[in-house]
This record gives sequence, structure tokens and C-alpha cells, in this order.
Amino acid sequence: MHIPDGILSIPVLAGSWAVSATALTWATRRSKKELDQSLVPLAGVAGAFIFAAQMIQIPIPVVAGTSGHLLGGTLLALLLGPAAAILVMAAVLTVQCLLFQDGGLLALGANFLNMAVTGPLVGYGMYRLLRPITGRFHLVIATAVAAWTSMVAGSLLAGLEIGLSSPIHVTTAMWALGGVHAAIGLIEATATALICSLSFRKEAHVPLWQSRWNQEVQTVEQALSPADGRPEPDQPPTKRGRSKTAIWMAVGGGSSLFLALILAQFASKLPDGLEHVLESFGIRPGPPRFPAPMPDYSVPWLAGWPGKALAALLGLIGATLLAFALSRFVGSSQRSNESESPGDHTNGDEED
Amino acid sequence: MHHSYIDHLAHRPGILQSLDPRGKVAATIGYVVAVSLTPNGAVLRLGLLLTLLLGVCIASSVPLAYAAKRGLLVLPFAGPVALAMPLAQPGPIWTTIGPLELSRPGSILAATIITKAFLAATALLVLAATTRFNHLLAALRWYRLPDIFLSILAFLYRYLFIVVDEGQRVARAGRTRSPGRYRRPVTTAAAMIVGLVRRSFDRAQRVYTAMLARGYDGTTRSDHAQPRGAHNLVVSLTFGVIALSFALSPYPVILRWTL
Repeated sequence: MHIPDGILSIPVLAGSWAVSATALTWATRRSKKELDQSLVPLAGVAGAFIFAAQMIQIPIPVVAGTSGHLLGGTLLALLLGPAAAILVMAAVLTVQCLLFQDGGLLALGANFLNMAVTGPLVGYGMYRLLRPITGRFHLVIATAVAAWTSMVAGSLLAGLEIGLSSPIHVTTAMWALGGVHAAIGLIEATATALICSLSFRKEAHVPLWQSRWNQEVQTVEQALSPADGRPEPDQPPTKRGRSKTAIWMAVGGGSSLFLALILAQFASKLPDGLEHVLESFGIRPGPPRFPAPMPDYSVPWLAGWPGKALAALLGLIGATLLAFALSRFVGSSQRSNESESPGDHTNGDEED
Repeated sequence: MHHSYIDHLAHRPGILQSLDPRGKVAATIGYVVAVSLTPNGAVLRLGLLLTLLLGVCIASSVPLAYAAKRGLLVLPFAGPVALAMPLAQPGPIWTTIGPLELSRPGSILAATIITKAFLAATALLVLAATTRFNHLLAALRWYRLPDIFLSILAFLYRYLFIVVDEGQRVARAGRTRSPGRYRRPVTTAAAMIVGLVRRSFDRAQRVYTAMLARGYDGTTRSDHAQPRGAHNLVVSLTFGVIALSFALSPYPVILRWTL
């Protein structure tokens, strides 16, 4: 998804630079407040890891013959917080551009937007949206969905940029890139969920590594400067207020809404895989025995694009309600053993 | 463990190696802008830009085969996008391959896209290969990029080789345990990634505590003298201006020849 120079047109380049520069400025301001000096190396190593993980090509089981790699925006946002994640992803992309010629220099604005800004923001927003579904199992689901969504959203943006600046039709480009990355996103989702489930403590929002890093580094710092009496902030687990939660849920909801609206464009343009296979065998499905409320993803009484969008929105709400209901059902069996250790997040239960 | 540092050419004698990094950054940006602004099918302008780049490579002992090989790494992304152009761009038909009708303007556009991507990537490679990374960071700091971003960048570079090291160990362990199998199942790959996180994280932490123990206080110090000076800047900026004039020159007779 690293767009090289020479593909995007000047207006697209300018627009993407404007958006991503704004986001980077916000992230810098925010990180200056949140990230203290001893955490900067943590951000560095997280970036270096993402960089290395992006080099590992993993075969995609769904589409034969293709392979993809991680992006890691969501993972970073969950480990470091969205603002720091944006900076780290931007640093990764800068190194890839400057040193490894992966992605162009002028196209860096667009690449920032697709991978460094969209990835962490959409991923983190989706995670906060799904997070009220508590429990360890649901943590895995929430991170996986967040990672998948963020990757597909980024690839759709990339398709939009390429479509806008070339004779390729916008929907074709978005469809092609989004389709490929919907498959690659499965790997992203698996890896993100796996890493997060290994690294989060049971119920805290703070990743395990961050607190462990702080402990050990602060021990060294204290040993080095006992006389200074440097104030050692205890790094309380990020206690975000209710308003912040609401904002992030809004970001998640907004991005999934945006995604739904875009996907609505594609919804019934192409017959889906099963229908296609059936038609190629000459099998025409008869009249449905059970009339679906919204055939072909459109509301019957509202024609055209708004109808499809509304259908997508209703489907989204339905899926969310279903997820909540499922979580109540499955979560009730887990809650009993979780409530045994409420003060759990103060003493590390590391899994090794 | 063995890996090649990306700025290994910075230690050779040459014109680019002796220039002020600030000027080199500006000239590279100028060159990439020039490449991007070149209109479609402007063969002569692209040729002049290529010649300029070739001259710089030869003058600063960058091996041409190495530069070309690294520049062609843009193909995996630029290739498919470019290949779609002859089908997407309407126009007179140039040739047909089976059922596909390739339009002439589309084919020219495809060739232009690939050439542009190659030139821009190679220019970046030449900048990165002939400049020490520390000096590049110093130049970016001079251009007022935020400090926190630059220190993340510095640590990223420092830890990159650690992670790659650990990654090579993990990969070697994987190879020895499943000889002869090229494709590994997704679960194994994911487990390898998680292992990589763990190992590189622990090692990076040891590196950082060692840095603290040796007096690291958040600033990078280097004992390599950095090339600086006004005449240096002038040389680099001339390069950028020449490149821009190739691309922007409105209508000098020579440069008008296009496909």
C-alpha cells in the first residue's frame, strides 16, 4: 500500500499533505504532553518492530498466490495511545521512504494519511467503540475488528487517491485495493488480536510492556541519580474520562458509518461469490422462501444510493446489537472468574 | 549476525559525500518535485533528469547496478497501477493482446508512471546512501521538524538493526525446524511475530538501560565532523534548480519533443 512518486496528481498530493500535516501537528502536541522522555525509546522499538514485521510476507489463505504483511497502526494505537501511534507510524513510513525507497517522498503525505493517520485513529476508535463489551474473549474480537477495519479504511482511501489522480475509475480503484486488503486485513486482525491478547493485562487498558518498561527503566534511573531525587511519576494507568470515551466511540462509530456508506456503493454492483457460482452453473435461485427485509442491501421504499446507505446503516446497527447480545450471553460465563481478582491490575500477572 | 547498513556508501570519497546534508535534502526534494511535475510522455525531459542522476551517481561512486536494483523496488506497487492505465485511459488503440485493447495514450502514461517512480526512488536512494543517518537527522532538525518525531526516528533507526537481528534469528530457527518448506502456516507465522516482539523488546530495553548507564540524556552526539559551508549549499541548490528547470522549462525548443 506504499504509493510511490509519479502516480498521484498534484491536487491529490496537496490535499493529502494538508490533512496529514494537520493530524501530525495534533499528534506532536499531544505526545509532548503524554510521552515522557523514558517512553521515547519504547516508541522507537515499537516502530522498529512494526518495521520488521512489515517485512515478513505472510501467505493469504483466502486468495491463493498472494501474500501480505502487517501494517500495525491499530496495534501501535493500542500499545502507545493514538497520538504516539501516529508519530511512530509516520516515523516508520519516513524511514521506509528515505532509506528503503518504499513509498515516494511527495507521496509521503498520502501514505501518512492512509497508514499513519487512518490506521491508528480508525483502529483506536473502533476499539473504544467495541470495548464496552467486556471480557478477555471480547477483547480479542474488538482488537481484531478494529485492526481489520482500519486496514480496509486505509486501503479504500488509497484507492480513492489513485482513482482521483488517474483515468482509472474511482470505484474500480477502491474496489480493487479494498478487496485485496480485506483479505490481507484478516492477517492484520489475527496478528493484532494475538499480540494484544498476550500483552494486555486482564482488565486494565494499559499494556503490560509499557508498565514493565517503566518499572525497569525507572529502577536504572533511580540508581543513576539518587541525589537528584528526580520526581518519579508513578505513571497511573491512563484514566480517561467519560467524555474522552464518548469522543473515541464517536470516532469509531463515524468511521464505521463512513465505511458502511462507501461499501454501500459496492453492495450490489457485483454479485457475491455464491450467487456468481450459482449463476455460472445455470442455477437460478427461486423466489426466496423467507423474504429478506432488505433484499440486495437496499431499503425497498427508498430507491438508489440513499436507500443502500440506509440499509448499510441498519445492518451496522443490527450487527452491533447482535454482538452485544452475544457478549452478554458468552460473557456471563466469564464474568464469574474475573470478578475474583478486582485489584489485579496492580500486581503484574505476566504470562511467562 | 550480518546485515548491511544502508548508509555504507557515506564513507567513500565523492562529491555528494562532501556536501552539506541540509543542501542535499533541499536538492533531493527539488529533484523529486521536478520528476513529479514532468508531463506525460516528455521523453527528453525525463531523459535529462535521468542523465543528471547518472552523473551524480558516477561522481560520488554509487554503484550503478546497486542503484538500479534498489530503484526497481518500486515495481511491485507502481507496476500494477501502471498496467491498468492502457485499459483505463480512452484513446486510439495502440495494440491488442487477446481481448485487451491497449490505448496509445494509456500506454504512454504507464511508461511515464514507471519511469517517474523509478527516478524519484533512485534519487532518494542516492541521498540515503551517501549521507550518514545522524547527519540526515541533524539536517531535518535544522529544518525545524519536531524534536519528539526526530528522537523517535533516531531510536527507530537504532533499534531497527536489533529487531532485524532478532528477526533473522527467529527466521533461521524456523528454517531449521521445517527444512524445505517455503510457505509456513499462518499460525506459525503469527507465533513467530509474537516471539519477535518479545525478544526485540527485551533486547532494546537492555540497550536503553546501557545507554542510560553511559550518560545518555536525550541528545545525540556525534564525533564525525559534519560537512558544512556556504559553497556546499550552493552546489546542492544548483543541482535542484537545474532539475526543476528541466521539468518546468515552459517551451524551449529542445525540450518540446514528446511522444
